[in-house]
Amino acid sequence: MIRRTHPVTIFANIGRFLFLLLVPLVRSLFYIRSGFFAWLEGAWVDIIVLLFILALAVLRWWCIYYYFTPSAIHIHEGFLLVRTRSIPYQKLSSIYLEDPFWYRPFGAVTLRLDTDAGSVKSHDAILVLKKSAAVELLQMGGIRQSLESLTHQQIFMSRNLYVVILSLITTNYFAGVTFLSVFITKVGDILGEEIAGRVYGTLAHVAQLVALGIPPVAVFLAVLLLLGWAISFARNLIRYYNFCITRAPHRLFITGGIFVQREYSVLFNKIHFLDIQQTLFTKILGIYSAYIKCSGYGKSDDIRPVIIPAAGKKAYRQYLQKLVPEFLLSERTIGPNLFSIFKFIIDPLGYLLADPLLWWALCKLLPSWESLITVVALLLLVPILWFLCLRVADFLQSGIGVQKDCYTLRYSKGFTLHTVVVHRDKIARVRCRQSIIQMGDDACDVFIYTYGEGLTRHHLKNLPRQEVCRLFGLDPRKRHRFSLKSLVREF
Amino acid sequence: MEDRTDAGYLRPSIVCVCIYYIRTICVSFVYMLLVWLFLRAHTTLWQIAAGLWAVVFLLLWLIYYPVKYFKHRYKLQDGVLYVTSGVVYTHYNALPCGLIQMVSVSRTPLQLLFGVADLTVFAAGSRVSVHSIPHSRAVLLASLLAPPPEEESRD
Repeated sequence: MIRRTHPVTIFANIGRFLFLLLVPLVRSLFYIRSGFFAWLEGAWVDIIVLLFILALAVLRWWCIYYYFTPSAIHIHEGFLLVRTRSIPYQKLSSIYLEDPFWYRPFGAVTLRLDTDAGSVKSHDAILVLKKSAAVELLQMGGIRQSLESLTHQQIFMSRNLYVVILSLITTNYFAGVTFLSVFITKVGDILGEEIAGRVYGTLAHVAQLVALGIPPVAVFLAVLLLLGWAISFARNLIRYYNFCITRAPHRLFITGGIFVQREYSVLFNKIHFLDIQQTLFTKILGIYSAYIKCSGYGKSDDIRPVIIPAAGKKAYRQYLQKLVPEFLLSERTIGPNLFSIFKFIIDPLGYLLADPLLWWALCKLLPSWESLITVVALLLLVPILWFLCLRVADFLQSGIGVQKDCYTLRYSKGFTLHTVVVHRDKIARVRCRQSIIQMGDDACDVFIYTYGEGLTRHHLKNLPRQEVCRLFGLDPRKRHRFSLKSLVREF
Repeated sequence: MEDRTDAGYLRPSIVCVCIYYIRTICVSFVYMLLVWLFLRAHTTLWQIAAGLWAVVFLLLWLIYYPVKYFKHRYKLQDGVLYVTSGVVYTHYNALPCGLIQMVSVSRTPLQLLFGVADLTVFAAGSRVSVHSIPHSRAVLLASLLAPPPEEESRD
């Protein structure tokens, strides 16, 4: 029996065809000088265009339907380019059920399905359904009966304080600034350009008021970044509030959110790796956040694929033991030697050297901007020194550990320290790279590729080559390309 | 109507060549319309544009599409889908059925008219397509390639 998506989809479809409003717009431009009545005489064209947009939206809704068999869900869509997709239930790596408040009056939810295939950026299938239809579909696939009837429940409910900490850690300044500027611009479009101008003018005025010996432009930028940070923080908090995980025999259910209630369902055998992250700040405070890499989870709406928002050292290990005991965290067995520290700190030292040189060069080129350039150059020293401290921390903890079939990789990327726990069978490729300088102490950089929706690369610096080759079953005597096939053959 | 090669491969339906030809005619029509609108007839630029169109059109019709049709083959054997395609470079794809995550059957309006469809098979990190095969065969292959259910993942 075929089933259709919720009629509320028609509104979303209208948005797709709004470009047809160019026709009445162009017509208005032609008649702008002829007067109102001349324009009104041709208004029937505008009405036909609006009806056409509505008809196309309804037609698109009508052409999307789905049906399920015992093994798969089949989704049919399109009226010019007709496409039927078949997704077997057992290949679904994650299912995301989204219940935003603006859909609640209509009783609709958004169901997003993902497999290990398809696009990295978008979900494999997105359906807007009635809530009962979504639950029926999930039950049909044996994905869940109901949350309450699950046996062997392990529930982890994060304290909202830790959600606040996670929001603080993951707040993106520029995302907030972008959101703010788009919001102000859109308000200006709706209420008039004067409103948008007033908002920006007020920000500039505040910047001038608080600028004490600092160039107002720099203060304006700082105020903008601060506002952007605050908005991004608020958005993150709303996303992760009431965060809760329930462990079932074969999958994890992850729920959270205030205005948009989200529920993810993730199969254990589809989790590619576990990633425990710390920034330098949270490392000092002794706070850990844990994420998983699974196709589909964390793909939309800037949601990070978190399973533990924040916890202390002892607590996070206990939670990991309960939630994902399949991933065994082990201590470091292979690490860089003492003289490798230079490899870790060379990048931040380079930036530290470049900063005053750039300051001097720009001051020579643009002498009228000297005060602003000086402030910016001084401000840049903060993240550079922070980066240097992070790289030192990375050197102290970097390396590889192994326990049974699980490798624990410790490295840093950007401003984050990563501890990645990955199963042997999720490793697609291992590559060792040795530079001329590294030949002296026979060290190498190790690149480990884990498979999923596209490969993820983990880069570990300056590890002893012989030990790495022994660990991964490579022959250290000759150039060797490791593959999963050779590993399976050997073990 | 399908052609079977010696190695057991199947070729797509011959109508795919007709579909390619019709697409080329439509694109050519738009191209010549633009040339007629924006270029004065019998000037040097017009002659270059027309000549270029003629060369490309003939190349596509006489060489590219026939070669594309003859080199595009597929077969399902021993749980592996083999697909060969390409014109200048020949691509050989072998995709074990166990690695298939998702299957899609799609049809453009022209394909709907001729009763053929494209079958696309998705695996983690890759995608293989078989173009313009009879729709019934595409649906059959899609059902064969979608893996059977396992009991372990039911909650």
